[in-house]
Amino acid sequence: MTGPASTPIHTPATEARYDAEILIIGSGAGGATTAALLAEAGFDVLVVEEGDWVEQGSVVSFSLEQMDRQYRSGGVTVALGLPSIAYTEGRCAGGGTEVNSGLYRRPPAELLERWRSQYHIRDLDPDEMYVIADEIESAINVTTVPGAVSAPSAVLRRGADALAWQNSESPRWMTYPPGGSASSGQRQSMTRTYLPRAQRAGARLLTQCRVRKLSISGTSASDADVVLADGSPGRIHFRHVFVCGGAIHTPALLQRSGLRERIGDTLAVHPTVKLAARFAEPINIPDDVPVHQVKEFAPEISFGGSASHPGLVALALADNWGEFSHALHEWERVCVYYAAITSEGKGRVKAIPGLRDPLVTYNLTARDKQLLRSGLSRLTLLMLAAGADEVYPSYHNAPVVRSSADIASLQRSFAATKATVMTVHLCSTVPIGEHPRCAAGSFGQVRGMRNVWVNDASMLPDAPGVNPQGSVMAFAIRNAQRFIETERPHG
Amino acid sequence: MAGQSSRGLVRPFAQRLLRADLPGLSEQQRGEVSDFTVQRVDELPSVLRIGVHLIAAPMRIVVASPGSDRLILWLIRHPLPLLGEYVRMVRSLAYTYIWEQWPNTQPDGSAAQ
Amino acid sequence: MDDLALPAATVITGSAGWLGRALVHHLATDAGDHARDGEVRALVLNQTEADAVHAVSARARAIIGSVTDPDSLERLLVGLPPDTDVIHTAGVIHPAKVSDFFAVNAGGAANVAAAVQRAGLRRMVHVSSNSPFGTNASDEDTFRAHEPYNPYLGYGESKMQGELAVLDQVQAGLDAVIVRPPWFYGPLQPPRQTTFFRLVRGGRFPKFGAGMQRRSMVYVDNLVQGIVRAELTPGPSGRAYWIADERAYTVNEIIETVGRALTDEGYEVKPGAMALPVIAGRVAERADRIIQSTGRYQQQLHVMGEMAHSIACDIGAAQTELGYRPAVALYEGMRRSIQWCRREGLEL
Repeated sequence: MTGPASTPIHTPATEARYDAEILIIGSGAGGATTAALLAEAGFDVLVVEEGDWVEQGSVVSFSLEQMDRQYRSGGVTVALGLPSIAYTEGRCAGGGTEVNSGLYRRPPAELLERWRSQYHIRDLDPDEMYVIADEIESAINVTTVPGAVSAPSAVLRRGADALAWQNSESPRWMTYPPGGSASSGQRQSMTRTYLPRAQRAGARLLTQCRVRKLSISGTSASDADVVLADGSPGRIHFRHVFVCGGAIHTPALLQRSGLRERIGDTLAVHPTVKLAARFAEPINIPDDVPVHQVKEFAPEISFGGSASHPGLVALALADNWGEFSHALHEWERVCVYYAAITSEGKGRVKAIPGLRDPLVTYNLTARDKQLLRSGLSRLTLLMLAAGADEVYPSYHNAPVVRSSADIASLQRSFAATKATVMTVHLCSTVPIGEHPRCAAGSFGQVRGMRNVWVNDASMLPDAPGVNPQGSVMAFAIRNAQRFIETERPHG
Repeated sequence: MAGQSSRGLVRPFAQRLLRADLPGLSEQQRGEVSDFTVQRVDELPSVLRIGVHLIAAPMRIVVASPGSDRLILWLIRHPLPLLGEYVRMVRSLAYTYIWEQWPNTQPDGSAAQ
Repeated sequence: MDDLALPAATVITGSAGWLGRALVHHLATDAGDHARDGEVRALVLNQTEADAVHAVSARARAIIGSVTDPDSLERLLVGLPPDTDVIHTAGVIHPAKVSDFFAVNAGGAANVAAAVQRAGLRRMVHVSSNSPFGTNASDEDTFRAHEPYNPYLGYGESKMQGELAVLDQVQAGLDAVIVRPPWFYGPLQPPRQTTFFRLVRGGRFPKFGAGMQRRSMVYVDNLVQGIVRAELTPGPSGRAYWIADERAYTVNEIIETVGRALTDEGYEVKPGAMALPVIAGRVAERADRIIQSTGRYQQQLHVMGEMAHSIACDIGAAQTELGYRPAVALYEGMRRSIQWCRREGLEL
């Protein structure tokens, strides 16, 4: 068993004053790994987390209750634009790793090479990154599902195979009981892996602690102004700070602290459009997502499956309720799938004085909109090839698709501005590298600052085109290792 | 308070939208769903909440005006810029809530047969 | 798997067209790459076309009729043995009015498929196009063997309906294979292709943006090979294949290669191209759309609108399943085209 040795100590922030050698803001894929490595190297580490600690299994995955307790703003967050793009962010101990699909992809070698050359990232060696990836994969138990894949996952495989489109099962970081089925996994999120590790090495974790701003003078930051669990103000003094609040709140915090140059100007996302498909037999699994992904058109376009409990099926059908809603009678036979693209558009995160949350905008390019159309159409074709009786694309007044000829009318009537466009992978608001457009150095040190670092999805130079958690963790560990080499604690 | 204003601005519109979209939904369910919608609007990030209030305010006036039924029907059936996003958000929240709470609800909102 | 036996007879529709005459040449003359015994029947619209076919092959039997006239198709197919193959190439690409698209490309395909099915012949090869699939969503994208329909205006819509009509007959028992060639080139080309050479020679070929759009093209002899491979390879009915040169070319590469081919054939070539902003292509496309919606058709606008996009396809399925091996690539194919034009006395 790879479960936690003990439930770690996590306390709501109550003291008006804390001190730490290393302050880590955020406890997700970036913050938790940084905390574990630095604590194990002997640093005095304090992790602060805005959300709560929620025991796994105490809420149903992908439910509204989970949205309430583990997502920022109940899961209703939007990047404004034409069209606006809905996104979600984890806000809890463990961050996005507690609530995401649990699918794992290593950063592809071509991607690392492109990032290295395009953004001039120093000492970015794919071999070293894959040594780190090996460690991560063992620490969070990356594995394929035991036994047969779930019915909605088999749909993706069947459809793609029929069209000769490349597809594969994405491994997950899960543990399974002996003889367990595909749906019996226990996710090895940060609250079960790197956070307990950090705490065993002496790191402290404060929950319900929101950082308002960093006090900066010259090239150094010294303190964090925080809001404690009861809403009262507090202060944390530190020697180094790692900002790991995710691609939206990391740049917003830096901006509120007066660091604005190139920060927050390059938000990257994987915009997705979706559809619901109805089959002859029951396929719906309300509390899990498919593990197959179709990568034939990657990195431009990828396909996969979405959470599909009846509420989310209703949501997917809402764009043409009059024509689509009959499918709800048989929601057990319906599942929701997505087409994601790598976008050439750019978004911005802008902290606005006086407001708690930043303004987030995103503009899709003409090419992006064409890719969304193409992605949705190809995904529809895949569903028909997998044997779907009817397909319901999610855009205003979309047609019910029953045949390949119907897809022509989908292509004609689709417009990105009419579609429900969403994203889950937000990144690149504080890109690392030596290139002038980068906001932080090759190892995450914020430009012009001696002791302020970023080490979360913000640092990825642009959208990776694959599930980003593996990339975030690998970069975070690489940067933490470099930090330890150069700043190793004495005594 | 922001919470107060969301309730006053958003709830009547949510009620009206649900009456039009899902005539079979019971009065009590409609109230519960509208409350949920209001609660989520209150939790929105600052800029979005302000934006929603700016759109919701004139809509609130339309909803309160006598004889506005056809106008409202038209507004909620067409994907207008900004306004359409508001309609989409309210509808998305409401539908997700209804079918998660009562999965066998009929497409017109009436209880499972 | 072994090929099917050569058919006892072969029927070619649209045989006075560019592709049609190339097929007649390769199937029904001793100089052809795929010369075969047995009767070759050629559907032509009139005596002038019959003469044009006979000029290519004296032994081809021209029959006057039209794919839009089912009675004439009965006459075309009468008395043929069951192991006869029909290669349907008849179509219009630049018509006077939009309704011609549908009468010929959709209605014609439906009529031919129905007639072949009624006559109980062996196999139909239906020559379609890239147009039912529109243009690629980005310049990096490549059409795979299976793609969703996305017809590009009237021509694309009519060619899609043509494919669907053939597939309907497949459901009813017809053995048919669909071949999808993109832009083709080579000897026997119609006058509009001569304009293409003149534009390149004059440094006036329109190029949108950076000229990085990718275009699949097919040398006409490669296409004939693909059609014959589709005809003779056993396999389930209703399959469809892209038939194109080995790889797609960028617009820059096309302009450079054709310029080089012209130079090497002794023509003076003014380097460069007519650089146009991408938006101009969008405007042309929009205008084409509007004009076609009124039932009219304007060739230049149509070609301009399409040039701003990529149309690239993957021939992998034809290579692995049909054993298709495109032998000629752009430079060699263009030199042969230029030589042919000169032999024909065409002014470039």
